[in-house]
Amino acid sequence: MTRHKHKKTPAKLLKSLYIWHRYIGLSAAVFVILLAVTGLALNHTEELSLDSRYIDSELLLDWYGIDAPDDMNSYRVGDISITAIGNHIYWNTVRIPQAGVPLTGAVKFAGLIVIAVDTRLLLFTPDGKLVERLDGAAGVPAGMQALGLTMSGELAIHAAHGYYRTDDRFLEWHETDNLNADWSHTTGPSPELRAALQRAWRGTGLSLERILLDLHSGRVFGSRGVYLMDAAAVLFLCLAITGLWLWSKRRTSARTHRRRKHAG
Amino acid sequence: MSAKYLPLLTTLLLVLTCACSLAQARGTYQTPEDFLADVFSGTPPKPETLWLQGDIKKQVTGILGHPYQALRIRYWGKDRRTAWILEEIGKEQPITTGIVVNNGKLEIVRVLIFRESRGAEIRHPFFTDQFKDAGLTGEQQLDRHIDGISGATLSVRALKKLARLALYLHSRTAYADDTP
Repeated sequence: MTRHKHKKTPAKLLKSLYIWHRYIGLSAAVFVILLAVTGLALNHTEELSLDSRYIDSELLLDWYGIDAPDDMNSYRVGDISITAIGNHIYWNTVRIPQAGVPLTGAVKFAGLIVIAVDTRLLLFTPDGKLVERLDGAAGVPAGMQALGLTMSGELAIHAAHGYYRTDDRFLEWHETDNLNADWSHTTGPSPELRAALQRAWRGTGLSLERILLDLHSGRVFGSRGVYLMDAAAVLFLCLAITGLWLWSKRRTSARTHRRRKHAG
Repeated sequence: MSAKYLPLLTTLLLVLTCACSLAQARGTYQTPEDFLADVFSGTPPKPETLWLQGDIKKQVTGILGHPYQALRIRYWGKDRRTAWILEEIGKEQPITTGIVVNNGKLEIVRVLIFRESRGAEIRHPFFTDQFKDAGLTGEQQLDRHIDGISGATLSVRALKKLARLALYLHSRTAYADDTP
């Protein structure tokens, strides 16, 4: 039995290329739209505040595996709870910006809420307005371990090198050998507050910028998504090559046609 | 050593220098305590406070383009000199700056703590020295031009705002009084 090889004529090859070009174009359209939209948005991250807008969709937060830490260090001052979760400090369920950790204590003193974090004392009005941040330059002792109130109503700090107290103007710090004070102590937040804090923590865990970046690179679907975008890039290349090929073929055939017409 | 290794060594040295300068960009250059000790010859005076209320609050908001982060600012004053530890966000993080105003003119502007990933060039004296002897115009602007730094626009802007803020705040203290 003889096998006949069917060799495609140039016209058939061109037609087949047209069909391929069309289907590659249709397949690539979805990716082109996705990349164009996310790329445009990412080019204007600052104007659109993409890095400070957060996703609150439980589905997406679960997809990214963003869970609030179980460990919470909380101090109660009247009706207010000051809580440290991870690297953030919360006034009830509102995050205190640039507070720093660790949280050492919180007390009500001189009509203010005094919070000891890292190397600083943060002074707030009872309704949550920041009055002042005091650090080493203002005399706050280094290595704070506990914050409290003395029996005579002064602010007390147990620091790395001893005990210190100050009055309601926070201007002078006096070192003492020992201090009998009512030290603020940590308490576990109530189940309701814990749940609200976990929601608040998760709510600032995933920015819109990250979602767009991951959509742009395909990482939103994990490592397979990256390969998917690689495949899309190959499709774009095929589209460009077949497009250029078809354009040059048409151009050549149009020239030949014109020459023949002139010659005839 | 053979001369043929010279280009390689030079490239390595340049890469190392760049890596070191990048690694050192963020950090504490001087603690606020050391800054105060430095400018008051080891014995800083007792701190005083200035409440940002009424007209002061309005002017401060005008200078910064937003309200100051706190309701009260601490400063240290002696004779006609005041020292301020002020913070302003460059792009995302606060830049802690030590500023000394002497007789209504800037004496020292020094970046103490820089937390941003870019723009740390503002800490160098070639930039901060431009502020020396600058004062405020009636419109609360610096009375001289400060050359910017490419790639550090937001940090430069933040430092210029803090310089204006310190000059204005100084004018609202008892140390600005010209009477002997």
